[in-house]
Formats: sequence, structure tokens, C-alpha cells
Amino acid sequence: MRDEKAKILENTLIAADTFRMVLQSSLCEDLKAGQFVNLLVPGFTLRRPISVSSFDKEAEEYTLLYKVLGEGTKKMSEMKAGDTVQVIGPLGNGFPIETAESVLLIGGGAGTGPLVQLAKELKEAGCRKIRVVLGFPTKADIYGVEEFSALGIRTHISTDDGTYGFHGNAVELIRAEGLTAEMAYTCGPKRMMQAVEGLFDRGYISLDIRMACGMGACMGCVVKDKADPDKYYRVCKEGPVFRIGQVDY
Amino acid sequence: MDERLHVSLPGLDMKNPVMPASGCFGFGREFAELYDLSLLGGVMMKAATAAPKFGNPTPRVAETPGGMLNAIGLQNPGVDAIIEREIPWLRQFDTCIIANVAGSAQEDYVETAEKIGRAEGVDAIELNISCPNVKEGGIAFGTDPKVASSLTAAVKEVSAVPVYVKLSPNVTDIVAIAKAVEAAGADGISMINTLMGMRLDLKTARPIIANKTGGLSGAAIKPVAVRMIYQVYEAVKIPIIGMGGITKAEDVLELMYAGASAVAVGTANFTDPYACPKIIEDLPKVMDQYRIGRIGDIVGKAHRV
Repeated sequence: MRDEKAKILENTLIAADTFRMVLQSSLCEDLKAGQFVNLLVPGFTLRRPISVSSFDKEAEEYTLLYKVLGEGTKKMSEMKAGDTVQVIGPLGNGFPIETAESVLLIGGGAGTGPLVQLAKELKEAGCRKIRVVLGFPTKADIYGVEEFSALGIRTHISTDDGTYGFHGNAVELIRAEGLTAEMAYTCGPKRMMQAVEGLFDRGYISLDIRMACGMGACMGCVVKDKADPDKYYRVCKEGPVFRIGQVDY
Repeated sequence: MDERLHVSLPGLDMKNPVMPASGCFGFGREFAELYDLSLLGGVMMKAATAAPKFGNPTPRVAETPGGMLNAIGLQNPGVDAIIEREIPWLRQFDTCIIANVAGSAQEDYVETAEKIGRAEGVDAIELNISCPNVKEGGIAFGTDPKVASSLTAAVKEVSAVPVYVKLSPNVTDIVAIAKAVEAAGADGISMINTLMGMRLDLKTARPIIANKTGGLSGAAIKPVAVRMIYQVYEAVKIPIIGMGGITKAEDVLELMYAGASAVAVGTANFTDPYACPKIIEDLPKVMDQYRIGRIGDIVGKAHRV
């Protein structure tokens, strides 16, 4: 973990209220798929915890795909290439890369980001059958498809209003198309991940929760263990990735 | 070490007056990954309760203009685990250790204070009678002078180290509480805890914090801290550890002018994890700017000009 200035190489709109920010700084060398950084937006008290979508260690470049949800991310979206931004990272545990014949990656809305690096690493680890399911509210919200197709991975898209792809949500798409896999990785809205947990016994979820310090000190983002109510995890430190069935959220 | 920054309070001989505030620093482990905690004047540990405590449901935090709300609910592993695991670890650093003690009944406070006050390395106790986020105890002990006084006396009786009573700003007359705890034997006062606040979600109209209300902290509350420290300084003789909205070295001067003998930095640690060492580094420069020789000389200066 380090706190350093990162150079903004790109910050562009890629879908409705959704931006791609490419940063360059030395913390990149320690990044693992599924980890996040905590970004300082000048004028705001709390930092913005954003998952790293993908990285290139040689170039020390890492990409954040983020959605404008409030005033802080709005200000973040106005930052310009060439500027610098103060960033703490890498934070959190990241996705374990497991060996499986077939894997399903399920992203909902803003949860698509961290699945990109994961897909890349699963492929490198020899997983032959990786399929991606992404759910969005409407056609204008869709992003991430090029990132996966660049890896040679096909994306199944659903929209809640049927303006593109499957009419319904990501879980309904999985059921309708009869998609199966040995294991699943998912990141997105709570209800979607809970439904994914109902479909798969093996896999991982990545939680999104309000945080303050982002580094394990404040106890702002804890979740309980499902089996042992006296056991808890800090999402920012022991998470954000948990085994399917591990936590109550 | 800069002698100009040295301050001395009951039980606390500090190389500088700056400490991270309780609840904003855990037990220091995460920050120790970034800098040497021996730079700090002291560490005010996360609250300890007699039994382990999970705290409140999430969301527990929300941002506000110039600050944040929190309703953690005193989550901690319990006093025994803190004595066994956290304090021995923290002792490796050359810094004062202040143990924050909380509870839901007088017996809890007394038990926890007695145990933790005897733990090797603990220099003082901060008696938390002002947590706004727990259903039982906490703030209930800090809003009535009689109750505050009786608890302070009971804890003083068992504590092996000096006791600083942490006051709540959520009262009509903070001076009355300050006087009551002084009369009950408190060695010092720490102030202010958070101000009770609330935020609502625009889509659902529900509170953002699961506990509904939370404690407001951050730069936004600094003027309240300055005012209350100023009023309490005039009314009591015991020293004050000041906190509330400090983000930079200039803020340290302001709270000390008002009457604080040392200060704690809370929410600023979340904006910038290096906030404390940066403030300590900047202090001598800011003191030069305002022609201050020794930092200890400015305590309560606002009352002498």
C-alpha cells in the first residue's frame, strides 16, 4: 500500500455517466485483479474507492471504469489528462485466480470494471471456457464489451428495458440461455450477486459498500460471516472479494 | 525532536502535541504501514469495551459538506484482546498511549478502565462518555452532570493512570459537565466528540446511515470545537486535549489558543493518511510565521489578549 501522485493519462466518457480513467504510478507494480484504489478528489473529505479494471505493469498504467453517482465522482469526471491525482493503493484482497474448465463472469452496471483484469488472468491461467454476462439498465449504459472482445471473450448483454440484447436482468439471461459453468465470479448490485450465489456453489463475489478510510482502520465497511455471527470482515481489507456463501451482506 | 513542540500533561510527556483521535486510527496497524508511529505525540486508541462489540449495521458512514457522519457503534475486539494483542504491539513505538474506554453501564466502564489502566504501556485513559451512536450508555453518561460525575469518580477510583473525560458537544451547557467531571476528580478533559447529525437519500427519502443518525466530524465542526474549548478553559483548571476538525497545522494553533494543551486529529486521517505527520512537520514553520517560541506557551492565549 502506498499513497502517491498518479498521472492521469486519459479520462473519457465511455457510456452514460460512465468514464474510463487511465492512471500511471508506481503502485501499479503491486496490483492484483479485483483490488481497488482510494482516490482523493480535492474539496471532499472522503476518498473515492474505485476498483481497478485492468493494468499493464510494464507501462505502470492502470485503468478505472467508474460511474458518476454523486458530487465526488462528478468532480472526478472533470479531471483532465495530464493532471495528477492523489491515490492510495493497492487496497483490498483481490480475486483468487482458480483453475476451472469453465467460468462465468457476471457484472452488473458499475460492477463490470474489475472483471476485465480477472478475465485476462483466468485466460492466462489456462481457463478455456470463459463467458461474460453483463447486465445494464438500458442500451446507453452498456460498456466493457470491447475490453472483453479484445481478449477474445464473448459477452452476453442484458438490458432491463430490452433496448439491447436480452430483455431482463443478468441472472434471468443466465437462466434463459441455460449458461452453466464450474464456477462464477460476480460484481454488481447486491440483489444480483445474491441471485448469483443462489445459482452457483463455487465462486467469488466482490462487494461495493460505503467506506471511509479504505484501509482497515475505521470499521466503516464491515460485513458478518454467514456461518459465525461473531466473525466479521472489513470489506476494504479482508474484502472486497469473498467466497460465494461466505458473508452476510 | 524539536523541543519547541514538547508538551506535558498529566501522565503524558509528549514530544509534540499531535495525536490521532480515537476511532479514526484503529490501533495504528494500518497507518504503521505508511509511517513511523514514533513521530506522533501519542496515539488515542479505538474505544475498548468490557466485551467484544460488533457495532451497528451498515452503511455506517456518509460524507457531508466539509466532513462526514459515522455510526460505527464502538466496534472493538474487547478489552482483553486489546490488552493482549494491540497494546504490546503499539508499545514498540516511542509515543504516548491513551486508551479510550467505553461502556453501556457504569460497571462496564469501571471493569474496562481498571484492566486497561494496569496494562503496561498505557499512559492515560480517555473516558468516552460521549459516543452518540450506541443505544445504551455512551452519550447518556455525558449529558447529565450528575451521571458524568458519578462515573468519573468511580473510574478514577480504580484507574492506575490519569483519566481524561471525553465530552459530548450534544448538550446545552458543556461547561456544567466539564465542571462536574473536574469536581469528580478527572485529570483532564478531551473535547469534542462528534455532533449528532443525519443525511437522507434523495431517491428513497430514508436515512443514509443505517443507525439513522450519526456523529458529524471533520473541518465543518472546528468552529464548534474552538468555541466549546474556549468556554470550558475559562471554567476549569485541568488541561484539555482538543479535537474537532483539525486538518492543518494552523488549526492546531487555533484550538490551543482556545485552551487545548494538546490536540487530536480525527477525520483528516481519512482524507490524507499522512495528516498527522504532515501537521507535526508543518508546526514549527507555522509557529515561526506567528512568532511562537514554544508551543506550550500558546495554551489559552485567546484568554490573555
